Formats: sequence, C-alpha cells, structure tokens
Amino acid sequence: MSSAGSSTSRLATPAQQPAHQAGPPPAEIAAWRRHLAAFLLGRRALVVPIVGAIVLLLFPTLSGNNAYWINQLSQIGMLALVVSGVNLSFGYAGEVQFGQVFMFALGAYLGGILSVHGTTDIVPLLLIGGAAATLAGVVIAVPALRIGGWSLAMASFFLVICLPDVVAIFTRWTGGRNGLVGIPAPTLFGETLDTTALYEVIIVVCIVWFAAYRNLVTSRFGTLFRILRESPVQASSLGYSPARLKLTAYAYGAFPAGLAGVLFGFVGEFLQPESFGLTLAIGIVAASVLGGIESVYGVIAGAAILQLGPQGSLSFQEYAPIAYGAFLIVAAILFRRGLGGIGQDLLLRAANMLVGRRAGAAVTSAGTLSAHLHGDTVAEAHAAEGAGGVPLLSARPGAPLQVSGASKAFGGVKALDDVTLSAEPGRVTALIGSNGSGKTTLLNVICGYAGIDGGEVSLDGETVSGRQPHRIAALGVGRTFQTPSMPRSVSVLDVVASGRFHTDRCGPLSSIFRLPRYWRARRADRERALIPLDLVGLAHLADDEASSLSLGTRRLVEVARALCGEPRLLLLDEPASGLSDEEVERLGRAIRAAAASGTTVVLIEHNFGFVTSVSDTAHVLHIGRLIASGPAKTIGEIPAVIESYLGSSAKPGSRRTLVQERALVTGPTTRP
Amino acid sequence: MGTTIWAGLVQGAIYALVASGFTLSLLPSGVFNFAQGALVVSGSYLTYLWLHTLGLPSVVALVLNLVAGLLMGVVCELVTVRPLRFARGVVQGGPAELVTTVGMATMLIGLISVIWGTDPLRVPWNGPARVVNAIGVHADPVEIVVVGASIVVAVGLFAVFRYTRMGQACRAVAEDREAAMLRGVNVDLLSIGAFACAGALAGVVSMAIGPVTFAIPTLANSLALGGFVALAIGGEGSFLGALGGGLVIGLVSAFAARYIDVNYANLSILALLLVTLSVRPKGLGGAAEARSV
Repeated sequence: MSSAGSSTSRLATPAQQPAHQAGPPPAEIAAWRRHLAAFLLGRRALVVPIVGAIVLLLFPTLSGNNAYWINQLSQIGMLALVVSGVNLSFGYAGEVQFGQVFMFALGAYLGGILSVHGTTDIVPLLLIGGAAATLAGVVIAVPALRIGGWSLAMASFFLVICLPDVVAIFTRWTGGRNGLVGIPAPTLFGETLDTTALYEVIIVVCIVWFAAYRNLVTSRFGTLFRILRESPVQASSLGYSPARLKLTAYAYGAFPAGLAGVLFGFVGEFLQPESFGLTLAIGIVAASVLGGIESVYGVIAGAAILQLGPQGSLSFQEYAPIAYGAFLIVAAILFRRGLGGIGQDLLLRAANMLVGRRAGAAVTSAGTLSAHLHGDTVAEAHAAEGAGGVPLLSARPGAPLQVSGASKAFGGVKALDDVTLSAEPGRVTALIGSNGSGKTTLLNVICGYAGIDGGEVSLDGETVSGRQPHRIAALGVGRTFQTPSMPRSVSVLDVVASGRFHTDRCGPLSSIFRLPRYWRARRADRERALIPLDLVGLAHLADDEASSLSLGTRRLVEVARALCGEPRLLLLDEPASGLSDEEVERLGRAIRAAAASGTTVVLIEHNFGFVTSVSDTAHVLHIGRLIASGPAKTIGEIPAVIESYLGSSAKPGSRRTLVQERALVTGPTTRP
Repeated sequence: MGTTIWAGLVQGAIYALVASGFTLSLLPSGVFNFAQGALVVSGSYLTYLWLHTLGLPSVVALVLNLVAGLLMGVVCELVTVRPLRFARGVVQGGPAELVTTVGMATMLIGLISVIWGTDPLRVPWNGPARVVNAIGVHADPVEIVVVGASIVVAVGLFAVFRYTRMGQACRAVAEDREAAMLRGVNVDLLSIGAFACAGALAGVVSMAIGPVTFAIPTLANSLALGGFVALAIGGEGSFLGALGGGLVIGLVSAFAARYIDVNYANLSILALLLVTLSVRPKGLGGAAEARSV
C-alpha cells in the first residue's frame, strides 16, 4: 500500500483532528477513510458484484429452497437480461428502442419449439436463441438506422404489434393463440434440470452476460457510444460510422433478450403471445430508464422493481400502464440517470465526505476521485516521468490536399464558387475570410459532411469527394469543430484517446473477452493520448471529466484529440476563438509541432495576428470565392483582402495593413 | 377487388389523418408526438361518452370534442415537451421526447382502460346512414366522410403552411429553430399552438374514425405506428406525402389481408416501411440537405 502513503500529502487531508491519547493515530484513521472511500467508488473493487453473485448462487441452500423467491429471482434475472439490452442501445448509444420484447419472444419460441421437438440441451438452445435475436435485431436495424431519428424506435415498436400475427402464421409450430404447451424440462450435459438447477443456470447466464456487458461499456466502446449519443457527427469525424456503431449497440443489446427468452420458456413451461405484449415492451423501457441509462447494475434494480411491482401483483396490473407512462415522463425529465445515477452520486458524496472534501472542494467525477484515491492519476504519473522537449507527434507522413473547382450551393446561396487551392504536408495553410465567406463549408466539403456540387477534393492524389465522412476521417483526416462538444461522463484522457481509435482498431469482442489486443490498445491509448495533451498544456487535467471544462479548454482538448489520431491532414476550425493569450500560445506551439512532424495543417481563423504567426500560406475567401492566395505574412497587405475584411469604406490606398487595423480594434495580439 | 380497395382506402385515410396530426405538431416543435394516436382514440371514447352515455346532440359533441382535443394537446405539450427544453443535456428532437410522448400515450391508454375497460365499444354515428352503392362497392357514409376528411385535412394544412405567414413561420422553425427565434418568431407559442391544433384535429376526426374502428384502447399504438409509417413513406414534414403514404399502406395491408392472409396485414406494413427506408431513406417526398456542423 505504498501508494496510499504517497497520496496522503496530495489529498489535502482535512483539518487534522486533535489526537486522542487512547485512539489510533489520525494518520491511520485518514488512511482507513481513504480505503473505505476508494472501496465505495469501486473502480477496482468488484467485491460487491462478486459477493452478490455468490449469495445468489447459494440462495437455494441458504433459504432452504424457498420456492417463491427462487421463482421471483429467476424472473428478475431474466428481466434484467432483457432490460440491459435496452440500456446498451438507449442508455449508451442514445437510440431508443421498444422492440426488445420481440427478441425476447423470439428466443422463447425458438427454444420452446426446439425442446418440444426433442432438443432440450440448454447450452446450444441458449446460443441459438441469442444468435437468432441478434440476427433479427440486425435485420430490423440496418434499414431503420439509415435515417436515424425515430425510425429504429418505431420499426422495433412495430415488431411488437406484429408478434401475435407472426405467432399465428406459424401456428403449426407455435400453437398460435392457444399457446405452446408441453415444454419439457431442459437438460445440461444430459442431466435434467429441476427448478432449482434451472435457477442456478439463470444466475450463471446473468453473471456471464453482465460481466461481458460491463467489459464492453468500460472499454473504448463506452466512450464511443457516449460520443455517438451526444453527437453522431463527432463519431464520424473519429472514423466510425454512426449507423454501424448504433448497429453494434443494438445487435449486442438484442443478444441477452434471446438468452432470456430461452430461459423464460423453460421456467413457464408454456408460451402464448399475450406474454409478450406492448405493456411489457413499455415496462422494459421504463425499467431501463428507472435503473439508469448508462448504468450496469442499476438495470438489475430496475428489473427487480418491474418484477416485484407491476408485473408481479395482479391487483396492480390494471393500473400498470398509467404507472409506466407517468414513470417514463417523470424519469425522462427529472432523473435522467435513474437509480444507478442516484446511487453513484450518493457513493461519490459519501467518498468525498470520508476524505474530508467539503461541498465546495468536492470532486465531482467518480473517476477523478477514484484515481486520486488509488494514487495512480495519469496526470501525476506523467508529471513524474517528466516530459521533456517536444516529441514527434506523428509518425505518419502528411498528405497533400488538392481542392479543384469546388462548388457548393445551399438553395440559391452559393457557399462555394469554383474554389481551387492546395495545402502541402509540413506546412500550415490558413483559410481566412469574413463570416459567411464559405470557410467552414469548404472544410465540410473536404470532410464529406456537405456533398460537393462541382469540382473535386483529393487527398494524396486520391479523390475523396463523394465518400462518407467516416471513411474520409479514416484516411487520416482529423478535424476540430467550431463548437466543441464533449461527451458526458468521459475523462479528458479518454476523449483525447478517442482520436486514435480508428488507427488502432480493437473490436467489441476483444473488449468483452479482454484479449491481449484490448490491453495493448488500452496501454497505447493512454500513452499516445498524453503526448498531444501535454503539448497543449493540459496533461494535469487528464483524469477530469471532459464535459465540465470551459469552452477554451475544450477547444484545446479537441485539438489534442485530433492530433492524437496522427492525422495526415489536420483541419482546425477557429481553434483560437475564446482562448486566453496564454492558451493561444500553447495552441500555436501544438500547430507548429504538428506541421514539424510532417502533417498537412489547414487552419481557419479570425485572429489575424495568430494566422500570420503560425501559418506559411494563406487563402482568402469572399462570399464563396477565392480572392487571394499568398504568403501569410503579406496577405494582409493585398487591397482586396482589406476590402473584404473591413468593407469598402476602407480606402484602397490605405497605408495600414490588416494586422495594424486589427491591432487598433482588439489590441496587440501576443505573438507566440 | 373493389371492396378491398375501398377497405384499404378507408384504413389508409385513418392513418393519413393521424399522420397529418403528427406533421402538424412536428413542423413547429420538432417533436414527433407519439401520443397523437392515443389522442384520436381518446376522442373516440369521448364521442361515445357524449353521444351514447349522455345522449347529447352531435353538434354539441363536436364542439366538446374539439375543445377537449385542444386541451389535451396543450397538456401534452406542457407535460412532455416543455420541461425538456429546460432539462440539462437533452438533445432536441432526440430520444427523450419520444420517451415522454410514448409515456403520455401509455398513460392515456391506461386511463381509458381503467374507465371504460378493454372491450371494444361501438361509437354512435348520427350522420347519414344509407349505404352508398357504386361500381360494386358498398360504402358506409361515415367511411366516405373519413376518406374525404383525410384529403381535405391534408390539402388544407398543406395550403395553410404554404401560403400563410403563420405556416411559413412554422416551416422556418422546422428548418432552423434558432434562426427563426432571432427573426422574432415566438417558438414556444407556436409549439403550444401546434399541439393544440393537432389535438383539436384528433378530437374532431375521431368522431368519424371512432364509428369505423370502434373504440379500443390498444388501437392507439397501432394508429401511431401506422401514422409513423405513412410519414416515413411520404417524407417527413410533408402533408401531401402523409396523405399518399397513408393511402398506400392502407391499400397494401388490405390487399395483403385479402389475398395472403389476415395475419399479414401488419407485417406487410412493416415490410413496406423497411423496404422504403432501404431504398429511399428520406421517403418518397424527400427533404433538403442542410448543414450538419
């Protein structure tokens, strides 16, 4: 526990209590408090879920085979499986879906039919049920995700409406509306399972699934899903197709519903379409919202409440829809993070109190506090190593950018009119012009966010116009946005690391099974992310929650993220606006370092002093047309440029250059 | 054949009426109000209450339904949409609004079931009752009213949104909410007004829809989903598209039910939705591309 000792000084331990002669020394108390706080936040402590799992496994023995509770816990376990799938696609990836009941029913009917026809071994049945549910999810989601919005929610909802029809169509196998009867007891390796043994199987399936689920959402996919939820555009700028990511979340979410379905058939020994109605469909979403989107274990609480409340008691069933409906409204508005979120907040508050941080100084992110308590903040490890000199940012050679005759119109407005320009590797090319001159549109055309009407964009001699944004990004095009949005509950380090995800792919399965590839990628993520973060002077914030940062800092984080992907072409959209002089200086350093390592840099900026100091070449746009190109130092002396910037009132023959004009208005700009 | 076509048109007209209600509230608020289907079903039950239980004259019932629909629309906006404008971290037009409006629909259905039970109720129709026979089709007058209403409503709303200042303001909000606010458009008022109008529309048309479909609580979600498919096929934000989309799915499901099996009615609509989304993601009406960054 050497780390605990070293963290004492750091943690701003509370005012030392006057030491009692009889009691243990205060340092010891403080150490215990820290341990307890670290345990509460549970970053490493998997103790609670492990103990919970053992208690559940031993429950039949402990309770003397209490039949009522064994049944209730079985039901809760199956519901938790179903609800967790909704959580994955809704809570993490932000795609609400109501069709989980259909996947549940699919697993149930497949398992039931196969077992009635003689296949009772539960392991292959579980695999078949899960696979079928996943497949059905993909079939529905692929077209629905293409337009996003509400399509997936609606199409999946529609599935539930169609369920009785599907059951009726296959009456020969499903028993139609009369139900599927005579489902035999399942077997495992030839042994027939009684109710208690089946309960154990359900608990084991739950443990395995929740472990997989936890591993998935604590991997880089957790970060990607959160980014996707906040901004699909951003996800595509990281080289990931939003539709594909959503599909991943949705398909993985359908899998446990199929598992639960197979188990459900064996528990009930009877299936009918009424078991899988709309009320349950909505109840499941309500349980997910109640348990807390973005929570792993809150799901179990949500499922327990759903089972023990409305689903379980007949007297309440009539009012269940009113309760679910009211719940969906209230929860969506007020408790956006559900029970899981409330639990996390309480734990965080308790941990803060234990280590003596008062309300004002409390650390608001569990990750940050936990990292401090464990004495392994990335920031400090980095500071200890001592970062010396400016490291080589990118090992990849830059790619020359060529824009030829690009045109783009929005309705009748020509945002770009026959623009031809190029940008060279290792050089900073500035794009300047007044508001509405088409700078950002040009960037969007290069990145594929806006289709091109005429002309073409090529990167390293390869035509990229017409490709999808995430494909262009994956070619090595990094960019920042005018309004940097940071995903909630993700640390600065993870946000920066997300910039390199596409250069070092690590699939969901590697993450779930924690394969060597996962650990390699994770280590590389942390190491590589610190380099650009240090360059923009933010390494000390590595463990902080990104969404809590100020606008200027967010911009720098975005720049660091773009640099982390070792881009061949880096596009910066007004990175200096809203930055302090000192931050502008750091930004300039980062931009020059990127260019020095060979990257092609394109910079949009209004801060003229900054532009002339960091860029080599400048292009001036005016109402969609390129009006001037030349060395950045002298571009401000061209009369047409002065006119575009200052309006026609400025005398063409004026002696003052644009830099001087700007200086008059805004005061001198610090030259980095 | 003629009978099938007519049945499809009637069914499609109902979907189109729901879809018109969706579009009406969607344009100025950006919110897809899933509860629109539940509003129509509520209207059917209220019609039953006024005409059957209380024995009021039809004109009075019409006024009462209009007012009740209007109020329910306003409540819907105030409960499901307005609070989200203030909630932290909610993405406009995102899943949160879908969750709250589905919640509202579920609550309304739950209330209806508690008050009136879940068995279908026959909603009275006091208009003309003589069946019209033409080209081999037997058409109930109330069915003719439903089909006619769907056309009148869609064309009327199309004209209102195209040619009046108010309608253009709504389309401006749909295009770019913030820009519209800067131009002095009161978006909050428009949003409430649109929900109120969509509610009133549901209240009025349910007097004709109720007698055709009967009053059934579970119909609410089917109507909402059918209306959504009509919207998706016709192109989001287009009234004429909603009408066309509604009629198409009505016809397709009627033919599937008649010539394949009755169990394929809903499935054919789902298949149509998936195929449309695959082939033309923006619907048959299409939509303009806007700057996303």
